[in-house]
Amino acid sequence: MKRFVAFFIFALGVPLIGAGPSLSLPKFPLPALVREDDGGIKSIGFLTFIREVRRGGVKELQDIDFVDREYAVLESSSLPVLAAWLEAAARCVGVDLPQARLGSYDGLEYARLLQVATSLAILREHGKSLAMPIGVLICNRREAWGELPGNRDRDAYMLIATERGLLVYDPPTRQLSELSKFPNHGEIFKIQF
Amino acid sequence: MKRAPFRFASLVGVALGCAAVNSAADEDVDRLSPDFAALARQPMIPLPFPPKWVMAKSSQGTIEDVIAEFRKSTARQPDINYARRLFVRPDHEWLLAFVRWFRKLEVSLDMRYEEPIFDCDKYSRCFVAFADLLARKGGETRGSICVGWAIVFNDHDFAGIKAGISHSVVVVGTSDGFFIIEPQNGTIVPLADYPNRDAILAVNL
Repeated sequence: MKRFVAFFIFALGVPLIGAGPSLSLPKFPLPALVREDDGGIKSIGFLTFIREVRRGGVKELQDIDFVDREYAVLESSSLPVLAAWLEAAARCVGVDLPQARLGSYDGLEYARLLQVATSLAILREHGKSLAMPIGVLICNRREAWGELPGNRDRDAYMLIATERGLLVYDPPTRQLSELSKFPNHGEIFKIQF
Repeated sequence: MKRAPFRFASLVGVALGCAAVNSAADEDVDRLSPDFAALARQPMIPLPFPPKWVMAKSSQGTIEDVIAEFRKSTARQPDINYARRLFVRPDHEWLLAFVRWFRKLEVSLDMRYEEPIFDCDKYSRCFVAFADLLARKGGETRGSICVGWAIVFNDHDFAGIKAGISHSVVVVGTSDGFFIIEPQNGTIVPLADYPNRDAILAVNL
């Protein structure tokens, strides 16, 4: 019996050698997708994106990449849950997202995480779908945006295609803006979906 | 083996019409209110036990180091996209442990190749996103780790992916140098030995 107990304890312990603390994440967030009149998922291609970027007041854009041909469009009503998921996921790894800019914050990290999380959620629930329209923009923050100072720092924000158009989101400050009202839309030098 | 008939469209150097830049500094700025109540109704997903982050053996580097490495190892330097100038290069043994862990994660999250919702670039982004997460979980506060996803045109077969298609792989700078990883099967080679190194179009850190 003692040998059995000892083996049991050993067997439990072996897989944990070299492992870090356990990690759990909130269930990946399933965004609502905009539908066409016939019930199909509305899709947008890069020409639509270009038009929206242009309407958003972006000038002299150096570089814009689309890895997929077509993307879904998110219902903006999903954004509060997506934002909550991102903050909760960050808390699971010890990051207080609203305070993250006090440390080494990188907006690309969080845009990538949310794109992956929503893609995995759709993959698990529906199997097939269009690509998630959660991208990133990199700009020089020449103009202040809310509590973010206009100090010409290079910064990255999420760019999300919704039925309201392209929205810019900054997770730590929770600031949300239509691209056309984003004060640094003239300083964007990279957009990537 | 999941193959990637990768679709890629890139527009570079598009000059668009000007529009007036309005300063919003003094205006009310909209803020999103996260819906934590809706999230609280959702379960937590336990992940496989992750490898412990090895901070002592990791080191810091700059974006200039990354650019210099690609200049040295490739005939045609790719575009390198970044938001931060400082990166933490993980211990190489940690990276190897992470690659093994990512294979377990793939099973536990039912991750599978499905175009376009979870194709080659999503695999790569997923690898990078979880590497970042584990470093944060391990208490890394100095910066993002030196890991990114790259877009490449496969001039040669590599890790089961045929030549002649666009594809996405992971790039990591570790304590032992720079490496390319095929995230769909864990194949890892030094950047200098990667057969498609001269056909990397962009690296997204």
